[in-house]
Amino acid sequence: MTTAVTRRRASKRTRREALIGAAYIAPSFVLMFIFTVIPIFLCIYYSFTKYDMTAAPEWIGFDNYVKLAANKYLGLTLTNTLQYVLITVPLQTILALLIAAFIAGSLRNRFGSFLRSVIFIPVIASLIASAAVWNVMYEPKGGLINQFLGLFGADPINFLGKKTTAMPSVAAVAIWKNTGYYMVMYYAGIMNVPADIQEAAIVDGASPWQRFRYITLPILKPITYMVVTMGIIGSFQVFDLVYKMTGGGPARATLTVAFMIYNYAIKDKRMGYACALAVGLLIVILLIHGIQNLFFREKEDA
Amino acid sequence: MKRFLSVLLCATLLCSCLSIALAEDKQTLTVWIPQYQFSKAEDAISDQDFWDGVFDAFEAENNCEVKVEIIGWGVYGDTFFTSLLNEDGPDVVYVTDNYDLVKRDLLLGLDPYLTDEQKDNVLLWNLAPENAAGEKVIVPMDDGVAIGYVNKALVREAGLEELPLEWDAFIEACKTIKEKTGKAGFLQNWGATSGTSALMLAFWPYYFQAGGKILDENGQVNINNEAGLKAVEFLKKLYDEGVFDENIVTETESVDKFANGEVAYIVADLNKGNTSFTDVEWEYVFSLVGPAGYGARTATDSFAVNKKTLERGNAELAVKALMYITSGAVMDEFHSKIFYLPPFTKDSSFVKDEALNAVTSAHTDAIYVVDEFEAKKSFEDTLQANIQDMFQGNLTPEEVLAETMDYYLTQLIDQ
Repeated sequence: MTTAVTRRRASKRTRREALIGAAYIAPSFVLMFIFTVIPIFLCIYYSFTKYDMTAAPEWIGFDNYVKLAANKYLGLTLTNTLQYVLITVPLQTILALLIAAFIAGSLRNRFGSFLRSVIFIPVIASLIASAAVWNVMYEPKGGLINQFLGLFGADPINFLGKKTTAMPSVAAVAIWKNTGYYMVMYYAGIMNVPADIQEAAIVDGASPWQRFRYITLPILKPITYMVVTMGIIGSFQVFDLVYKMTGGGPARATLTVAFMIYNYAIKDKRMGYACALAVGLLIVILLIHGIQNLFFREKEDA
Repeated sequence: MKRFLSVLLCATLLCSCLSIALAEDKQTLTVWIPQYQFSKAEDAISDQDFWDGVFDAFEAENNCEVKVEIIGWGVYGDTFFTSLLNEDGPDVVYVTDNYDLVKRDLLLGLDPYLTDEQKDNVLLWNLAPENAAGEKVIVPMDDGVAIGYVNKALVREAGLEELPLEWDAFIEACKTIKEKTGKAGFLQNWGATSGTSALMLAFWPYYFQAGGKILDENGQVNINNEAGLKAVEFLKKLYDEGVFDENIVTETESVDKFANGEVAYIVADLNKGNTSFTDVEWEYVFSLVGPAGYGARTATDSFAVNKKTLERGNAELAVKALMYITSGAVMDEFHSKIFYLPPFTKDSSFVKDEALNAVTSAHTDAIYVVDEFEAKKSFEDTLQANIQDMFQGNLTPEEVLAETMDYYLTQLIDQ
């Protein structure tokens, strides 16, 4: 009898806590539902229609997808986007980790705090303003970077005007912009590594590299997972930097999927076709996220 | 004291009610105009102050309230298009690309509101597109020819009496200038971040000089023709012969370099001469001379009235405001205080630069307008990218034209 009453009370408490929890997340859930979930389904619906924002959408089945499959620049655009992802994600992740480890390990003083703030400044700077400043810095004649290279006798490089250098140059700006954000996440993770484990490793004679490799890195794995996931999703959606710095050029060398979606949707007013491309991008991101999950799970199992 | 306060309160209430009633009697108009004041001079009047001042007389005469909103150029095209789709969009609007607006019937037909005299006053009235009812829907304005600027001192320094304008001779002269002075003969903005910006100065003029027409006899876009090939081959030759500086990236770089005396010839908009090139001995030339003769591109932006003014009940007032804005008196003031453009109505008389006027007046038959057509911006982006690809050695001139047309027909328009 007493056990049943206790169980009922416990269940009542659990229900109340669940309700309180639900109440806490309800506002964000409603906003997410309105501004994220509904638009995704609307986008999927529009991708099967011909829709120009004025007349009612006209159902055309898979026509947009058939047309998309025949788009000769789609492959190039996906390759460009992948190239951008492959440059930005690993570099910004490794740089953020190294800087955070360096500051946490060797600069736990005022200078370390100052350095952290300096590295974080690009995160709060406006992306469009940053892109404009980098455009000037990349100028072939008179640009800061070429002036610096000129000190070593190098010829001026047309960073944004050459197919080979345009995408890496845009990606470099993204890395500069994002590293500070991920560095703060890593720094917080490193500061939470239990001191007793580190001390035990020191007593056992582990070198700083061994402690980093076998203690810090495994403990930071959830953060790395989040940093890589956010990096991949953000990089696949790159638009503003390309829009401001190159307009997709030269000769489509920096044309990304998100920029192509913008062109079809806003410039050409062909929402249905743009939505089909957006759905394609969603599928690609989900696939890559799935592969990434498998990779992280396998590592965990090992 | 109590009585005094009561009377004061009643009087205030009465005044408020009266002013609300009077305000309700007044019709209101919203006017959208892009920023045109680029001068940084201390005494330069802002667009907002200029238009607010201009509309004071109109408001008094028509017992109305006009709210002028100045919009930045950055995304003006997209902004005004979406605004016209909304219920609270502007009544009178400055229009850049009108194809989508006409196709979607978003603009008010103007003919029923205008007299023949008013229509006749607009110089480019025949270029205004029509709605399904056959009514003109915009008042086109001449946005100015893209004009040639020659650095006379640099040409002389290279041992040339003058810069030859025929295509082949021009290329040879540019090579001589580079050889003798170490400076560039000719620069173009092929690195512009939008195809429209690049082509208006760096492609369409040559296409017209080669005798090209953008729309064929069926009204369809087609540049894959003899004139197109000649124009693209000319560009390729300019690049292959080392005339073009491959480092040109931005839209403003060629103008800046001309201002610094680093280049002999550029094509730019007609406002640059008197404001930007103060340290260079320069002169206007109308254009280069291609196989079909002279050819220059002009832009025709316009003013129009939102069709929703019919539902709002202020269509007549909106058309009145439209004709007031485009009247010679207002435009003369605009051209003298804010931004110089050629007159576009017969009652306009302000001429800022006699030399420029002389050059353009002598070639009125060689001034061409780039037609409006579906997905024009993306078409121009595609052509720009393909020409850039040709400069990089990946496409031939024939492929540039064929691939542009193929992509346009299969991907950019719904057939």
